[in-house]
Amino acid sequence: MDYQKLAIIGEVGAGKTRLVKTLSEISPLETEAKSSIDIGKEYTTVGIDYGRITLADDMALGIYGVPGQERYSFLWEFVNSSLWGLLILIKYGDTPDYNNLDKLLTFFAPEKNQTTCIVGVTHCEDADPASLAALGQEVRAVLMHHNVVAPIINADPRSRESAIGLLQLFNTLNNEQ
Amino acid sequence: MKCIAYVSRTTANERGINLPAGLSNIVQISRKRNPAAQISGVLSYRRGQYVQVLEGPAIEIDNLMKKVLADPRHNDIWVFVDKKVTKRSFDNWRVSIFDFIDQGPIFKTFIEDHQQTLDAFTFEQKARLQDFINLGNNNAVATHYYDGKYLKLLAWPDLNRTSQPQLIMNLCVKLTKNPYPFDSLVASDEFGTYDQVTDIIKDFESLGILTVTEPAPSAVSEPAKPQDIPAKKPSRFYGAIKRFLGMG
Repeated sequence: MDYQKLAIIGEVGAGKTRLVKTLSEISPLETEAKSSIDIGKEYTTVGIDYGRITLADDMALGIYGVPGQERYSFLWEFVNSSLWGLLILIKYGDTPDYNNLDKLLTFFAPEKNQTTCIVGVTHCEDADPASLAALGQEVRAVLMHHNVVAPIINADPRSRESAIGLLQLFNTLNNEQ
Repeated sequence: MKCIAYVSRTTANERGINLPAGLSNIVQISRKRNPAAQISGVLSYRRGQYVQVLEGPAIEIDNLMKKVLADPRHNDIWVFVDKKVTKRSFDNWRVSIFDFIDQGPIFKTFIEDHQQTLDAFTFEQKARLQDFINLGNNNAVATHYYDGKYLKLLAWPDLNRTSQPQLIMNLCVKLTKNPYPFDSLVASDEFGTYDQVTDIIKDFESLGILTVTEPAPSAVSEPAKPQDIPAKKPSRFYGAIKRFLGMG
């Protein structure tokens, strides 16, 4: 069985669950629970969102939405093998936790492991261009520190077209290896 | 009215890494507050340093600078322009952001307006500003400079600020994983004429997101040709994903 994984990692509200739903052909196994604290939405993921794209009888791409906070790093361990791609979702409008992003990149070490990495900026449809550019520069600085050469793309997890665009870019980048 | 320009270093995080954490926050706040205070200017970040130019009513600029000096996100602040001005270099009452500000057309006015001050800096002072402002060093790329060379990205450019995002994206894909011959980019005809490809690559280099290397010694005698790029056998997985996406 040729089974590879796409890990989608991001902070609360970045759009992981929605993107897994959009990408997956099957009804994802959802692990949302009512949040006990006010995080701006009623439900949040407490585990992994899982979806799957069956490519052939013996070939599939597993899609894993994983929390980005370090306290869930035991889940990072779970997805950090046979990685086809690492998608980091960042929500525009929230100042990202850069220390956490730094730890995440240290853990997954995309450059060392030759893992294709893409950063998707979500909730940016009505973004102020200068603020979006500033966010991009912040993220780029963190990536450069880890020697990770990764596109920073506007992403809409609700849009199949946007989601497919991300898959295409991962596939094309992987083929350049 | 007065103009202040400063450079500052970002604060290292708990792991000793210098990140421009707060840049987007500074931009958001500036764009809200500056119009009311009639402050115009520009802000940029590169390689661990911010540069900001502020111009407007003296009292507003002084108040803002007090806040900057007390802001823990700024270290080692050097105010390199602090003078009364009679006209603005920037016509927008907001803070713009550039990767490499002396390439922004609006920044040229600032350079011209303050050329005398900038020219008087010592070598060390100029070196500190070099990431943002090219003070007299001619870094023009010689004709055919990239011929025979290999290119690899250090970071992707901002695709939101390019006029041809799809073309730039396709080109960046080539330069992401491994050093790629400039000659092959040109020969592919995918990215425009020789001059157009050269201009894109020059832009990348000036943004500090590209490394340019000489070919490996074994390749020197025979410059890279398009056919030298190994026609990789696409993996089965690649083909399967392509078919899934309806592209196969």
